Amino acid sequence: MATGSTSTNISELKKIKLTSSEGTEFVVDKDVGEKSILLKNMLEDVGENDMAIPLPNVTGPILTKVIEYCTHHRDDFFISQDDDNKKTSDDIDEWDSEFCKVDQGTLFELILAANYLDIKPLLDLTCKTVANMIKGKSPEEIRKTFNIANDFTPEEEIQVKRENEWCEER
Amino acid sequence: MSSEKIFAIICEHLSPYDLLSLTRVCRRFKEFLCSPTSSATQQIWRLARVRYLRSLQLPPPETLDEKQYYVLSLVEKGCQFCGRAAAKIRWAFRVRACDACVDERTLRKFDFYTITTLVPWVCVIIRSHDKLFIEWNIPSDVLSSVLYSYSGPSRIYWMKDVTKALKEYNSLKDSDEEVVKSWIETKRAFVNRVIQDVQHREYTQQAIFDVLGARLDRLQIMLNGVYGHVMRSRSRQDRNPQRIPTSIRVLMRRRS
Repeated sequence: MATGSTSTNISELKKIKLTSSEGTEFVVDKDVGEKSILLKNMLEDVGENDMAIPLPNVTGPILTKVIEYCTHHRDDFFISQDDDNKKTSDDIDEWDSEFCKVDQGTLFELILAANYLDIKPLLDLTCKTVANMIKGKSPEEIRKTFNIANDFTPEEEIQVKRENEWCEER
Repeated sequence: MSSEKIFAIICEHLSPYDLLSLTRVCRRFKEFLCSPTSSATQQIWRLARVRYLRSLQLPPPETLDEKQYYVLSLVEKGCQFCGRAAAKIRWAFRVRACDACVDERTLRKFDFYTITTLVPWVCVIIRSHDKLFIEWNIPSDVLSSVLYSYSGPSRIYWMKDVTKALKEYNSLKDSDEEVVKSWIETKRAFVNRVIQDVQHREYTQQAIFDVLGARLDRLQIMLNGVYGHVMRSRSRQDRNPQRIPTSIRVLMRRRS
């Protein structure tokens, strides 16, 4: 147990540097940065290094949000949520749901960033949030919410509706 | 990871009911969610079924994909031909239909041997279906390659299935005997597998718990929709607390 806590202390002391797409530099604790599997693997490959890691796919404001999330969850043990039955969208905790109260653009950029940086819990959280925006809505309401154009012809629309009522024309 | 993969992760959190709504939003969603051959698509529907539908824990029969399985089992729209409410699922025919519409669309194989052992008035009743008897020029090899169900003592076959099988069989006329033989064998094996599965399904479906389970599932799907609605309107109010519905504002004014 003693060894475990020492290693945590050491890793907490270490810092890593990240550069967002605009070139802004961010300094974060190593254990926070390592919530991203992409960064973790990079750091393992590169070893001790003072160079900033460039993240050309992530903008500064989004990186700030991601760091905020990883810092809040730095002590969480991220379990892989492979158990299919546990993935329901109702169990978002209060901090997480506050964290996701952002505009749609930011939310989608967060999804892309979580995906790129390979932070599974953040990806799950943001996708759950989008799923909650879909739940119980009619197709028209979904289109309105996400600003999606209806590109079905009237005939196709009838066809899809029929396919959803019985499984085939017989 | 592609955007489709992200879309799949979002879908993992949705019920089959919401997935159906998504199929009607735009072409791209529809293509992604209605692809019987895509394993990603099937996995999404499978997950939603296992997670949300207690009455549908059995995997779909060989003849249906996951979405069709859900639609056939739980979307309540009555008979798919006439709309009458008294419709049953006919697994062998992949339809939800009432007795009259099934009669109209099926052929029956009439076993004279069994009929002679029945009392005369039964013969009279069956006679009224004369137009539905199979014409005897359909080779038995064709009939044995088609899925069937029962109506009383006689086997019934979906007319379109018989026509299709007949066409296929006739197209093999000039082929080797071996080819025809293997066609018949493959079809027979398929029919045996599916019929066994269908019988099991029809048997368990009659169990009261399953009937109740299906009702509960439908209720839950409905509540899910209402719940989503309430939660959204609540969170909207959280964000704009000044936006109070007019009716409440009027009440408040009256009180003060």
